Amino acid sequence: MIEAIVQFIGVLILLTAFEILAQSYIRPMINTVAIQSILLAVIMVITGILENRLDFIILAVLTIAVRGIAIPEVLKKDVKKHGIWVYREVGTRVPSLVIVGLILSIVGYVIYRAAFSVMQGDLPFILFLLGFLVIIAKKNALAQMVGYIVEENALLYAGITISHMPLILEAGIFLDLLALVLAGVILAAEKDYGVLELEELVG
Amino acid sequence: MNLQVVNVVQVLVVMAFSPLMVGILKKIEARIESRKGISVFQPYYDIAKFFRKELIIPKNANAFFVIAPIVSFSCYIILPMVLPIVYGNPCPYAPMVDFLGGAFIFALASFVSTIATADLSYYTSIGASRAVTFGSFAEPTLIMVFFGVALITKTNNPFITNHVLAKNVHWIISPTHLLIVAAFFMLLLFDTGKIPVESEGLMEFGMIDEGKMMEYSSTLYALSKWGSYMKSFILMSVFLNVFAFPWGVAMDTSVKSIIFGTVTLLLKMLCLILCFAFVEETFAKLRLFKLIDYLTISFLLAILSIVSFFIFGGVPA
Amino acid sequence: MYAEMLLLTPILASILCVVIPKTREAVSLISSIVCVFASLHVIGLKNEWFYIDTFSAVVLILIQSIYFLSVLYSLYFVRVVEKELFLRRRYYYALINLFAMSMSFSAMCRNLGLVWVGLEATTIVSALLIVLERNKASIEAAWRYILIASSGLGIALFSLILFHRVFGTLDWVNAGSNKALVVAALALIGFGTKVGLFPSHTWLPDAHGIAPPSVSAMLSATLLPVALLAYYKVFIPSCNPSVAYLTCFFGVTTALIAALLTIPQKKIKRLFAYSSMDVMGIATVGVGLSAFNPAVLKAVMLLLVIHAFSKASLFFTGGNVITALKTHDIEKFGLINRLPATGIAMIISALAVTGAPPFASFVAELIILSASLRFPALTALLSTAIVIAFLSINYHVVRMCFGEGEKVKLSVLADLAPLISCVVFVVISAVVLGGLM
Repeated sequence: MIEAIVQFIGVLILLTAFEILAQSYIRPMINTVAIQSILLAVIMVITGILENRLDFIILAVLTIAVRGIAIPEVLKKDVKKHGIWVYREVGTRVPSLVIVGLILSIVGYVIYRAAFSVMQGDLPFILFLLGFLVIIAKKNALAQMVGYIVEENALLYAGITISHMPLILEAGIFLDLLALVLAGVILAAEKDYGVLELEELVG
Repeated sequence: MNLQVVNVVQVLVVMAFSPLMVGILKKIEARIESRKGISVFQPYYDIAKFFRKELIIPKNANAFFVIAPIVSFSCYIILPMVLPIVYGNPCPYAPMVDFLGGAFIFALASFVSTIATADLSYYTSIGASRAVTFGSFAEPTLIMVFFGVALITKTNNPFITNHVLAKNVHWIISPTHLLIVAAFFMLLLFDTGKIPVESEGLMEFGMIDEGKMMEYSSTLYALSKWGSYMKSFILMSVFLNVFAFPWGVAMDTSVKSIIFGTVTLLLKMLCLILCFAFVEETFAKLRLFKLIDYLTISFLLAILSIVSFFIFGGVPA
Repeated sequence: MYAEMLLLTPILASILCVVIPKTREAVSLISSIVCVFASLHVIGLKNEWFYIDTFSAVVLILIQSIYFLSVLYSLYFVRVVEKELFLRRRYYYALINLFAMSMSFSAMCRNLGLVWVGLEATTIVSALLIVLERNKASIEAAWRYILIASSGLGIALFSLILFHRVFGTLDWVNAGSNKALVVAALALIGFGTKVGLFPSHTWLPDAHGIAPPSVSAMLSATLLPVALLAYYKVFIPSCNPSVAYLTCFFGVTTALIAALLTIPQKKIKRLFAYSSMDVMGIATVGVGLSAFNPAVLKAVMLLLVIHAFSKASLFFTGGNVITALKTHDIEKFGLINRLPATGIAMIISALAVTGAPPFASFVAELIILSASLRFPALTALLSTAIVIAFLSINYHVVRMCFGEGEKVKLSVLADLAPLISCVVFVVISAVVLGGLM
């Protein structure tokens, strides 16, 4: 039963990633990533209790505090400051993006299964690829930030499901630190130069 | 009761109660909007009224114009004979088709009505071309939903699916099944023309299936209208009996259990109609070209259900 | 003891920089000198936390030396920057100290999780250093750098999670060996992002081009080898021929593409950044080939040493051009006449970095090329890359250096760091050549 619940939350997390991918507006995207972090925290708590690991529970608290509340709030405040983002669509290529995401997830599944036929870890791997896709496909800095958080969630998800890695708490703290630095760069840039929007990510 | 009689009962239930469900939905929505609303029997009155009107056939109507409503109406009469509506075991004609066969019969109905109206007038051709365009985007979802069900239950037969799901309660909460239900629900809203897809009435900006009926009158219009009510009813009962809530279907042919099956079906359908009312009252109609996004999301749900089936190594044991 | 010193001294120094801003320059300089001496004493250290083999020791010494040179150059550069700074000067020095510390940490640790943490810390610290000057281009470059580098490190962390699953430990020394292709491939892509390997190299020229020269020197001369070292630590336990092929493939592709991209460059520091990519590509091929012939690793170390000092010198001289002549573009400056010391240092360093014969980098590239003869196609591509890079980089540098011009006055401090690095790599080359004779 608990396993079924964890599986179900896992699929919900995957769905939120697709929601982020398909979302055309910034604010719902930020809300979705907050929900995703909270869902992940639930899995962390369940795994932590089952495995009797205190660090997973600390990680869950950290996840809710930083990626569930702090960063989304900061980003939303920023969205409010630049009114154009509240109603502006940042992408209108929903069907093609969703299809690319689907292809990516099936390819990810096949690759993962080909390499590790017995391991449970496809979901984090697919989630990770989707986070990548969000970063690549969205040009807006806030959306890319959301993509980064998805990726981070995927990594911690992998850390608690694939192998119960000893250093995962430290890794999580550093990933969060980096997320905060990213948010700081966005805020600093936008205070001075308006919205940060990259035309393309090429050198 | 003889199986043939059960067959007829299924058809009669569909024919008799389909307008009622539309009336109830309209009434509930009117109450939510603080209106008094029409009587729940208004759709019956409408159909009766249309039957009494004069029949006019446009000059440039093609050969299919007259037979299309009749063919599609007969399709919707045939379908209850092969699907679990109130009785959960195969009736005499049921072995002829599975899910895909049922989909073919639906397709035949929409095919004839499309070629009957495609070149008739400006409004009907808008309706026909939109129906074909968006229908082609809805098709992959439908097939994926069938695949998903076939994966869980190892069969493509609606009756066996019903039995398997009713017996394995824990499968109901598996992600695969829930995602399939969600995908099929979105498809249901699309196929029955509910609000995120299509709004009620003859609005040329958003109309899809309504547009096709623009040139019809009298008997033919009544048959089209009644046919579309029956189509909604059949789809809803398939959704309920095969996917979402497989319990409460009559399992033997005694009069008592058939009546019990009918009543539970109507009760389940009332709950579904409440869901429809909720969706219709909370969502706005999507812009027409955004419909493809909508159908993409339903496709996504259907595919994810299959992916999650493989990720978790099948349904929970 | 010395290993702890390597970590604690810079931390102490950065705290002092922030608390007592006046001492920032002296404290940083002293800290870097202490670190250089400490690094000479940690070679061969093996304990519960640290494992310093030859490769790590070489990288560690490089980190401290370039740290010293960068601080030395900062004394000049940070003073002459006129534009508004993103960070206060004391934070700049504090961050430089922390940057060196996090790189040393990453290079020394034997636990791969901690190696990763160190690399992640370098991203955080160096991203703030890149935006020293407050303008839109540098913020965009920093954004791109953090986003790409952190995504890459995400892949690396994923590979470490799988590593832990496959090997049951994160200690690379005791991991044993297991043919884990996917682990190594993900690590190659992940750490390769920080090394500047081909598909995810796009942050590198932007970041190097925008950062202050002292930071560019640290990024290019030490951060890239540290990332390569991190990959090497995953490569050793999971080594098998397919992984080696993959490594060689990514390395040679990077070298070739970077070599081709040096040709059309118009900015001084971007040119040098692509040159770093080229050298790192060659070094990656060397690491890949070490699976077949462990001796190649020595050539890789030699290449990295010469590259570090010569590339640091190139960035410093580039910084001199930028501050003295107020331009970022490659033009016919006539540096030999206008800034004699800078011009000479630039020419010598450019020759050394591209592997011109008298320098040790030539020997190193020759060894890697001869080892690559096992795969003739690899040899052909690699030698093409080396030749193209040699011609185009030296063409650009020669164009900048020779010509007529008025002499420009520049502080002595400006030429101190590049000349010291030139002396260092010339001496090393002489020693190596003497050894070979």
